[in-house]
Amino acid sequence: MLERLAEYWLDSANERGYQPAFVQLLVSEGHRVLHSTRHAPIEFGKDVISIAPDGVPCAYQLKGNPGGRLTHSQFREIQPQLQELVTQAIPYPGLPDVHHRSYLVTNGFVDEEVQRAIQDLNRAWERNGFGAEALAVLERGYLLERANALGTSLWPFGVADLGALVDLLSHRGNDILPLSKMHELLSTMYRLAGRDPAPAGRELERLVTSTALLVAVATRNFGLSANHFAVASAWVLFSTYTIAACTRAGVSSTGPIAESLSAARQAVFEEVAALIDEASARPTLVEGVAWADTEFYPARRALLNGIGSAYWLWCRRDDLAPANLPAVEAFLPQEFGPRALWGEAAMPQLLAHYWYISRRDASFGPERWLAQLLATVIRCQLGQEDAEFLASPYYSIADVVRHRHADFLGTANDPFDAMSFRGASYFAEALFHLVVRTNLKQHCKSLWPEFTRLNLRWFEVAEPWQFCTIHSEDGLACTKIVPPTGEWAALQQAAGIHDAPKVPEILCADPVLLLLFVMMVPQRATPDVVRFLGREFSEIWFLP
Amino acid sequence: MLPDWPDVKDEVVRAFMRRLAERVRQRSVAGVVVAVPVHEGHGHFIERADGTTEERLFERAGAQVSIPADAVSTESLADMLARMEPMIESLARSTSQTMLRTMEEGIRSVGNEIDAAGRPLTAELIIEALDRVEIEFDSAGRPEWPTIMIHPSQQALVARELARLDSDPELNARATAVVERKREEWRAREASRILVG
Repeated sequence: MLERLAEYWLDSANERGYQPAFVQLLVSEGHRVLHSTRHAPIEFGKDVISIAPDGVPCAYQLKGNPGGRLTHSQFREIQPQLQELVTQAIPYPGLPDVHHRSYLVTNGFVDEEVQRAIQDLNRAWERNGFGAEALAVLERGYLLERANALGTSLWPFGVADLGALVDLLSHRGNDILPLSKMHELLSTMYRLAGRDPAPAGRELERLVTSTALLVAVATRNFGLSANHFAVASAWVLFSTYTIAACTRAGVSSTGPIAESLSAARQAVFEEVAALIDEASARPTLVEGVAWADTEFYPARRALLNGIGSAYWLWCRRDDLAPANLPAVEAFLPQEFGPRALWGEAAMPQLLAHYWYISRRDASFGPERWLAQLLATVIRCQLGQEDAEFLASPYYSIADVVRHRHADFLGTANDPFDAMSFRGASYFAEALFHLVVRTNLKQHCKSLWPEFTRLNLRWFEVAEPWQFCTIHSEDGLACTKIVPPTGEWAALQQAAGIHDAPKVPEILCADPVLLLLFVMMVPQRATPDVVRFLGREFSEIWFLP
Repeated sequence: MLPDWPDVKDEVVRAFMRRLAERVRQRSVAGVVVAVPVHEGHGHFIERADGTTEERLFERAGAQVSIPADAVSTESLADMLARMEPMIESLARSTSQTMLRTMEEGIRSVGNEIDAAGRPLTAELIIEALDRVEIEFDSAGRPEWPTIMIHPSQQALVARELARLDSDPELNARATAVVERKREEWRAREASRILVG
């Protein structure tokens, strides 16, 4: 039955949908994947570039023919790209100076006429010195055989515990990714729940590939809906749960696992880039039923600003210059929306946006906005001036809307009691420390008395690997009561701490992934993590 | 399986659990404190303003009710809810006991307990207790009185002693002096909310 699921997925995915899984198959066969995005300058008909285990570079052109065939007319359309694929060298620094292998990949069948045309082309290329069978074809049967050998055969699901996978497969795909279902799937794959021994060594390597294929299959409907944020979320979670499995097993992510993580990172980049492309091309950011969008629009805008900012920071950090970068800069506002702070869960998005603006705006305006954000959090959580309490980061915008409109939607669906957030904040301490780093001392002095009335909260996992999951049964719900009198020097010292001991080293080594993860799982944006990310993404540092 | 209507039954269960939590809060010590939902973990940790810390594991509170199987075929949902009443009482009691035990441990650990040595609660003891605790005041300087938790059998006695505290000039003067001292402590506390350096 699991084989049929893989078939069902492959027969419905477009090339963008099956590319991440295909790349994971290459990794499992020992390839080092160098390039797997349509948003980087290297193209020349090459969607994926890898180095095979024998050291020969390989270039792949992917085509989507779900449930169908690559016809002769389609082939004629892509023939110029195939010409480039085979005949033009791969412009990638450091590649071995040998002719590369070229592959045309399709998830459909290949028409007989097309096969003959490829044979003709291969003969011509051979005469011109490009070797025998310059262009090889990998079609549906090959992909399915590899997917089953490396993926479905390792899925540890009996019919009884297929629930989460079936739920995801039957999901409409137009919603936020159900994180709890992904948690169930990924925890099962890596045996993170319970006291089972952690998979390690070759077993873990095989599981990583298998899990990647599962993620691709499970997010089929999200991919078909071009729901880029959901698909990006899935690959972010794949990465963090893989890091959890490595950390728990006490193994570093090297070799094939590092390659898998790198391939997943490229998949995230691709989806985030596509999301920002779509958002910046739209005349309006309204989605779905327009008249019911009023409560969600500001949250969507804040999320897109956060994701777009993370993308910009990512490009800056990795020295990337994708073609859409100017459009991203045009899309991202240089100021903050008035309704962006709908709950504490929005804070990582707002912080990413702040770090972006701060890098682009040389004035102290963004830093004053940061202090203003802290003032707003304090005012809301103390219930001053009739401000609405901000829900804790465990509650999504959907929960907030259900609560705000409980009179209309029915009180049985009200997910929280707003009074439970009174006098407490999960982000006030981290914000305060970021403001201290900006040296806005007078702002800090004026905010301090009210700040000390707040209980500072965060959740601390028992073991670092648990940080990478969206829910942990082991850990402490922490509360800190601030002493009434504070000293500026001590505060500066605390604000200067920027290590995150409860975050696995592998995740700390990739701050972009960590930033995206806490946008999706905001309860993991503890004060330690925010201080760490602030150090990584902000150039503001006025500490002795 | 037999035909079933799980979706609406789940709604009934959710509504019941919500009402249960509300009733337990009303009928237990939990009703006088702010409830903070905890979403994950196995315990909680607190760091106080004086730097002291405390870590505690979560404690499970539970209660059970037995309902004869044949009652389902003859009774209504309202009857079922009525059958749950003893369970609600039991849960409220065990919640209160757990919270009181925790509070008592906390009070003893800082030496704030007053041992009345078996004597009944008096106005003098109330003044002594007020003198031991921290009292907050609102922005207009009015005291936010602490909650006195007593056994229901003591209600009349406490009411009488509070009345005595109001009417007896000497007791009233002592209580007023305590409140004034607490007000000064509160003012000092508020004035100390400052970032220096």
